[in-house]
Amino acid sequence: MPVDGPALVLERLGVRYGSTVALADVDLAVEAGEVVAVVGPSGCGKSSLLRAVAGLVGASGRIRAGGRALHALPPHRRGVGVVFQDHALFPHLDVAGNVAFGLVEARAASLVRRARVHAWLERVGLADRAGDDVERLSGGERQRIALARTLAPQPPLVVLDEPFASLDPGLRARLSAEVASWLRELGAAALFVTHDLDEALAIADRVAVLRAGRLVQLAAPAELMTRPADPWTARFVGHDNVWEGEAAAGLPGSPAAALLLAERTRWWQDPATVPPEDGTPARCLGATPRRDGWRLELEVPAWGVRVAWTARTRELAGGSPPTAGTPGTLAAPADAWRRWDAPR
Amino acid sequence: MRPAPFAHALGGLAAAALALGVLAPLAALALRTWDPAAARTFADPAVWGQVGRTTLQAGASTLAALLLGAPAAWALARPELPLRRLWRALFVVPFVLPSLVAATAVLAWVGPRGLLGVDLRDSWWIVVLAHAFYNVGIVARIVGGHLEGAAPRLLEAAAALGASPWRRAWRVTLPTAAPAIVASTALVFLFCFTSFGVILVLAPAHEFATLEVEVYRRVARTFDLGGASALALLQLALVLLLAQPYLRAQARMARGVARVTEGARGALRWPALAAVAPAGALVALPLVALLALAASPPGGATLAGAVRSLTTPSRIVGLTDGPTALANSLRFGVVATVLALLLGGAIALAVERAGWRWLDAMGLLPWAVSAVTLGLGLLLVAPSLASGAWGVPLAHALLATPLVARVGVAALAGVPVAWREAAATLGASPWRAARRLDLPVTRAAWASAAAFAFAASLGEFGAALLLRRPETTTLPVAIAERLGRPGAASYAEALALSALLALLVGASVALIDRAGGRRRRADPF
Repeated sequence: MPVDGPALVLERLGVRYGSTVALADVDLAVEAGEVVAVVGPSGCGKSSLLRAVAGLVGASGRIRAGGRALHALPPHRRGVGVVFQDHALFPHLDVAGNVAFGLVEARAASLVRRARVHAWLERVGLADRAGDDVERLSGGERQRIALARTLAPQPPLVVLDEPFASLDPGLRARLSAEVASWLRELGAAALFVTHDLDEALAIADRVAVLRAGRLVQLAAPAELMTRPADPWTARFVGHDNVWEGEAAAGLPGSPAAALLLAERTRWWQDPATVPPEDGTPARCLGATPRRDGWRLELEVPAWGVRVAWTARTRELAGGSPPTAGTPGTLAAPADAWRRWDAPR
Repeated sequence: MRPAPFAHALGGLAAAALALGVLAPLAALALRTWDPAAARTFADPAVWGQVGRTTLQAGASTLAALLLGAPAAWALARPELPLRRLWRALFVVPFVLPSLVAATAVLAWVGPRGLLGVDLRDSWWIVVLAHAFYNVGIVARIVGGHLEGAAPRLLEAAAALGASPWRRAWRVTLPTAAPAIVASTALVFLFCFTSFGVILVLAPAHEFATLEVEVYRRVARTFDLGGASALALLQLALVLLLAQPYLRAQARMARGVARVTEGARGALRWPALAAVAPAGALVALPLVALLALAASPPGGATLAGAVRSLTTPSRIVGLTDGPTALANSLRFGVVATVLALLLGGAIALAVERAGWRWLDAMGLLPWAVSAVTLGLGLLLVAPSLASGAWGVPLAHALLATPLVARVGVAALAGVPVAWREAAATLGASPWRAARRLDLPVTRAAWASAAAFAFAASLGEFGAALLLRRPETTTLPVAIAERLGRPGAASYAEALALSALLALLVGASVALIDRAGGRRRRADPF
């Protein structure tokens, strides 16, 4: 569907529950066919953002979609498809009846409706369950029907609230990849709330990070990982080597805060092997086993900090981790650093 | 979710209907009472003597129901009680049994020509016995259901913490059951305090009259509408006062522990049986007596003769014949059920979908206003309507509305918000969501509300008696007519009609409840 400009534009979107501010001044634009993951810790306003877009909570600010102002419309006129965390399948309808629900409301002709329901049941792999009681479905099957029900009317906007939270990890990874492809096929703009960062990075075109009701960063997955907006975001996306204030004072360049991307650094266990020019003496304090290797804790006296450094087993001399106290050299090229200066 | 506009409209209509049907009659009663002659009723020592006697009667009746019902409740909550489902079903019977049938059953047991051979008619004994029979099931069911929900898991925890069986009963079972005991005690007291049909049939002498009976007598016998209005208002005030402990206890029960169905299997088979037996006997014996006497009536009459005389215009002068009464009852029942479903449904939708909380309380008003009071009020507001063909079904609809509204509010509140949000985001307007989601998922609740409304209308006696005309006589009134006549033939007819009414009520509850229980799959919209 040709749309001028972004498919969804949020302007200064805010949600409050009584005196509690759940969401404040969020500006966000999503393109048609784009999947934006919304991440953040519990209570950061992720769900409030989705519910505000769908019209399920009152919100301040503006919501526009394809030239339409959504914020003044009741939920049933917004054309925003919602996939709920707990599926919310209708128990009084069978599988096909659930998938058909929105098509009936859209006044789809009976033939079209039947064809569309069948096509979606095929797509989610449950064509033979059309007449089944939804209460007899497994968790994964329920989730597929919930997705089919939401996507069958082909909404231009789709919001998904932790849709895979109740599924086991294997199923979760498979289904989330499928959903992302369906959404792109439909050309729908999608907001996708998840607490699983790996999932967000895997399927989203861009990731929005919310903290205490505010949007702190909106970036493509790779950029989010390598250029987090601030130290909090850096830690949130899983970086260990983040220092602020006093702790950062001794680092090269004396920044207010800094992130060291450990995967871009190298560590030589044996100081006798030629250390590179930009190497800094570092000593191993200990090692913790990991699934794919060892997590070393390195002390870097020159910087006054400790660095967490993950080593694959094959990268280690003799395949075993260094003993505590082993001296070595840590090399951190310029692109391994992300520095923040104190706000002036 | 935003409030639905259509629910606001329904709320407005329902409020208007309640204002016309309940508030206007109450206002008419108040206006009547304003009259100095009527107001003098409050200074009449005989009236206060009546209030005092009724209070003592209700206290004794409640105590009897509690003493028999509490052990039964404990037994019903025990998983090892043999024939548990049968006992439970037995204790539902008095719930749906019309008061006139209950009275006739007790009469068949311990009345003149009764099965037991002792005549307790016109004594405090029979009043207390009948009230205990009628209400012991309420105690057993409310307290038993509450205990069953909470006790097994808690008792296991208490046992693991070192409490002996007696200590467990004292420190866990009793405190857990306390709100349910208070609630059922208060409810039973209210029922006994405002008892009507039972008193009128079993103890017609003046000294046993409750306020409800006295209101009826002043209207029907002395046409003292002012005095009747004053007494009706007095009763309403007392009921509202007495309802407070019930409402508070019920609120505490609602915050009860989550239901746990599986329980500890103990070795309390015989104690449980012993605890349930007295209450069970009290409920079963009058029913057995009713059926036995209906099948072979005393004094030379026969069931065949009674049925024959019922199906032909009555040979006994001044009695409504059976087919007319049956047809009236069924017709009024259907009309009252439909109206109560509409009004109660509108109240429930307005309360749950538009947030009209106060309408919830207003919808309970017909319960506080007794049947006779409501009938009198309607008579004062619209005499020709109230005594016409629509009077009884209208009164019955209003009396059944609280039940439908309660069931409806609970059912709609039970529809998860997420389902409604899903319906809305799939494009269903609030009205469409009510039709395509709320109604189908709560179908079973509405069906059982309909069944109980129908049964309540079939069995309702006070308003039907007060508003009766020969052509609007219902089954309970026809039974009362016959019980008031001497002679074996009219007694046999009363027994046969009572058995028929009991059967009808039982069948309607069983049938409609069952039909609603069936789930439907296809979406017709």
